[in-house]
Amino acid sequence: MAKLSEHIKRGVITENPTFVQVLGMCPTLATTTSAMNGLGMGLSVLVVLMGSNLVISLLRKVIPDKIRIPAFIVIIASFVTVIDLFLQAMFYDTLYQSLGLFIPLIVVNCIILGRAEAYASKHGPLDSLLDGLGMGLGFTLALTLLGAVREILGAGQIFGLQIMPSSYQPAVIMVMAPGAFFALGILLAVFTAVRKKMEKRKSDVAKEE
Amino acid sequence: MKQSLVAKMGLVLLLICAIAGLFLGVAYETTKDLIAEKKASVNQEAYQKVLPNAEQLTPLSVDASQQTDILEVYESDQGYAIKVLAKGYAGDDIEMAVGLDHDGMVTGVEVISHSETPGLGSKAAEESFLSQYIGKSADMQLTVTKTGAQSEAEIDAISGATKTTNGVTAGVNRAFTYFNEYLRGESDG
Repeated sequence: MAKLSEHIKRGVITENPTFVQVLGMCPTLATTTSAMNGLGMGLSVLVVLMGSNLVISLLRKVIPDKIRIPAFIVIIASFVTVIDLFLQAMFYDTLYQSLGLFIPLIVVNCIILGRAEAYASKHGPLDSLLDGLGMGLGFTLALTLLGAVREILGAGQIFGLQIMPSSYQPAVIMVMAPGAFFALGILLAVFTAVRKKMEKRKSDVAKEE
Repeated sequence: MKQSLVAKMGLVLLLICAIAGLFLGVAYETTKDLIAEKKASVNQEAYQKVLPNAEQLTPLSVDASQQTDILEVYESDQGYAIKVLAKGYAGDDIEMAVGLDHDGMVTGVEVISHSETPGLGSKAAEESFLSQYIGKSADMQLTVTKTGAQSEAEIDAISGATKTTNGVTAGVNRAFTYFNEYLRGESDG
């Protein structure tokens, strides 16, 4: 249990893939036009990441070092294709319409290959699975947050529900491409400031002791 | 030594690919019917909406080699539902259904799928915009205006999404030309 919370804390806060490692920017910027899209993309990556981390960790002693990259890509691409088919079968009329193009691009998402290379190929299956869960959750939270900020400012809604008063004139630029950069920049600054403060407090406490 | 290493690498990669391939084949087979069903039901829903009182829709054959942007045509007692492939902003595909009665009057327009900018072009899929087309006739050549529709054949552009409006309007015009060329007067009487 301690292991689980440690992995989640690492993925969500200390090594958050979006706000700290700044990986996988293409889907982050492109799909977060609404909170729902961010959540959908995040969850798809979460599932692929857990699956690929687990399989790669199980095969880490079988795969020769020299061909590890093609082997990883085959494994990751297979999971992505399955997710793609699943989304088509279940959410063809809703989520798939807005995410369609970006699902196959999960294959080249740096987070997934990055975790395979940096973590799953060196650790056991359970640890790798939890690492995938933690990192995936961090990515999902970041994308949902980014999507929510953009949707609130750009459309006055969250998850499709009107929350801003009708007098609010939506800043449409926030749901367009430039808005992705604005929102990401602001969130990165906030996240970094909070993290710095937390670290400082921790080191102050350590000093006093 | 070296040769056996190469052989081992090839063998491992072959095995991984073979297992992945098998796995994908199973996934494809199990989802294939579901996906086809889902797509068909999405299309059928759109056809039902554009031909509100149609009893039964029977597909008509379309010469795909000549009609690259007319995807499907259905006939019913109320008229025709034509599935058109239009081009939106940045040339992205917009799939839409246009319903026409036997006289070529628009009974409804639905956007089946699109990838327009959310908040701007995506408004083209909304009822408030698409209802503009209802009642237009295939004798017209529809044009887009930004200053408020004055005549019958004009469509109000969505503000900030003129390209998308143009695309959808061109799609409706395309359905008109197809109707005039192949369907008009065929099942009258």
